[in-house]
Amino acid sequence: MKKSLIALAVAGAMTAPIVAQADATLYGSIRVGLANADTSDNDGDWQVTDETSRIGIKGDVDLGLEGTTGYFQFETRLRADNGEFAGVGEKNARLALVGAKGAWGAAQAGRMYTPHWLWTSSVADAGWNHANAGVIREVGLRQPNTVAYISPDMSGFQIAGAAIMGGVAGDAAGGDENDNDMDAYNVAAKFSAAGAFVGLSYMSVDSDYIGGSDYDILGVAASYTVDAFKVYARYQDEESVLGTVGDDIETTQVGGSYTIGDTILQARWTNIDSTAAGTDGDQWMVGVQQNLGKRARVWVEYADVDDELVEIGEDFTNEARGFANTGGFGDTLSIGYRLDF
Amino acid sequence: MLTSSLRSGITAASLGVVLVAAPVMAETEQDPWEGFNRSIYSFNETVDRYALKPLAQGYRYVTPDVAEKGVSNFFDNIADVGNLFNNLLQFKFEAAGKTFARLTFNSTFGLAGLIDVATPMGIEAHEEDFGQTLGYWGVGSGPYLMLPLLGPSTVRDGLAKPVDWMVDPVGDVDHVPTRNTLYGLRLVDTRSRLLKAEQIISGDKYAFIRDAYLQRREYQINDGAVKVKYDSDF
Repeated sequence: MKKSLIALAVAGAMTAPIVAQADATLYGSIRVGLANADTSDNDGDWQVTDETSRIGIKGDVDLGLEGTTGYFQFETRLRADNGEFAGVGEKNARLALVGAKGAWGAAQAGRMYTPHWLWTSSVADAGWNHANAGVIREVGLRQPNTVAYISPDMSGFQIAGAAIMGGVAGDAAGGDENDNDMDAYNVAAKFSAAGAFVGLSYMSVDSDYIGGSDYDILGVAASYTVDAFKVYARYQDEESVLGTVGDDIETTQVGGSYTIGDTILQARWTNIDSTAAGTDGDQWMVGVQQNLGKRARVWVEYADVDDELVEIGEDFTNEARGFANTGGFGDTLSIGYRLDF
Repeated sequence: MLTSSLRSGITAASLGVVLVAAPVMAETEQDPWEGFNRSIYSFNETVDRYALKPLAQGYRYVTPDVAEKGVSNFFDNIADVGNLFNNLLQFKFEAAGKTFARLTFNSTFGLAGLIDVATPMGIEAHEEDFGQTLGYWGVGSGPYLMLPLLGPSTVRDGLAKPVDWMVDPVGDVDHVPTRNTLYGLRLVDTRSRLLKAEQIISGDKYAFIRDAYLQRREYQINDGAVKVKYDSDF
């Protein structure tokens, strides 16, 4: 009798975690590249690179509420070039959030993609494989200390708002005298229907948070997909009051892709015009991707970058908070292999 | 290897079947310069018998199969530059896209073209030359023409050859000894690939090669859609 009770207790203890884990999904993407980058860090040597590999867990949790479900997601970078589990920092810590979703929309808190990235920047960046050359003037990519609300899809129309509250003290040199609880906020809207997509975002960052000056970012993006062709355009205007990174930086991107079965050909033009740095330069990218099955791909991408951009690319700061994340600029040839699970 | 042998065998066999009925008509209509062509052909045959064929046989004998395959792949990859150019000229954008992808992956993952990684990845070849492009545009082939050293052609295809040479990357190699070595190696590679195919030649060798060439060109220009005329009692 006693034995069977113990057995029952043991069985109960073992089943409980299994039930709790039932809705969690372990996922990841391992991406290794071989890149030849002509940058100040790497003068044309071939290098085995990690192309932002990541591993994560996500899932839904029953809250016992009618029409509302809890969810969570944790995702971190796992470096495929040297095996390190990455720590904090924009490119390393990726996502850590909990939320609740229902017919009313979704609310979440933690470290997450900003609506600005999801609905404007990613329109021009998603689909490119090489980590550095593909990331260009992506501001506020993922933010920590954030709460956000995303509306439900209303016939293709959606709005979102996010507030970043990092508890950063005010009165930084040259900063805002008022100590606001909210260090930054982002409001955005998007509309998508019949292959067309339009996204609009405004983001305001307090000087104390980013350091130096108040920082406003306006982004707009559009894409259109018809059959095998996709074209897109993105415009972003960043303005800062004191201008450690320039008073006014305008980024314009136009690109497209052509899908032939499992083969994808793509090209993109980017222009960055910075008034303070007096810089106006272009980046050209072309890429070929071959999907191997549903969960693997190989690619070859080439980026040609004007020398002017190489110079100013290294002056942008605050990468740790996801602002002015330019990556390593320079002419880059990248070949890579990616497996998802 | 097996599939490519099978494919060439089937192509050769099907050509042979079609040729049984064709040669008499072809001689008169498509080869008005037969006498001239035959004399050039015999010159080519002599050069081939005493120089090219022994060279190709020797090459095949001493070179391991894997190295031969690598050399063939290397030159096939270079040929994709011309294939890309001509697919674009024929407005075959899907084929051009695939050819660009082949060129990209074979030149990188395929170690400068030595390994054909694109074919097993599902990116098939789309071979086109400028003669085919002219044919696609509607330019007639003109009379059959046997060119000295270059082999069977037509007036149209012969005139198109300089364009193919212009887009041939080997011609852009500045280092002359390297360029000539590449030309020589490609010649030997091409000839050695024909060693197996020529075993099926029977009867009048000149007529066989002419008819096979003309039929194959028609097949290529029409992308495989060949008009077959059946006799009424067939």
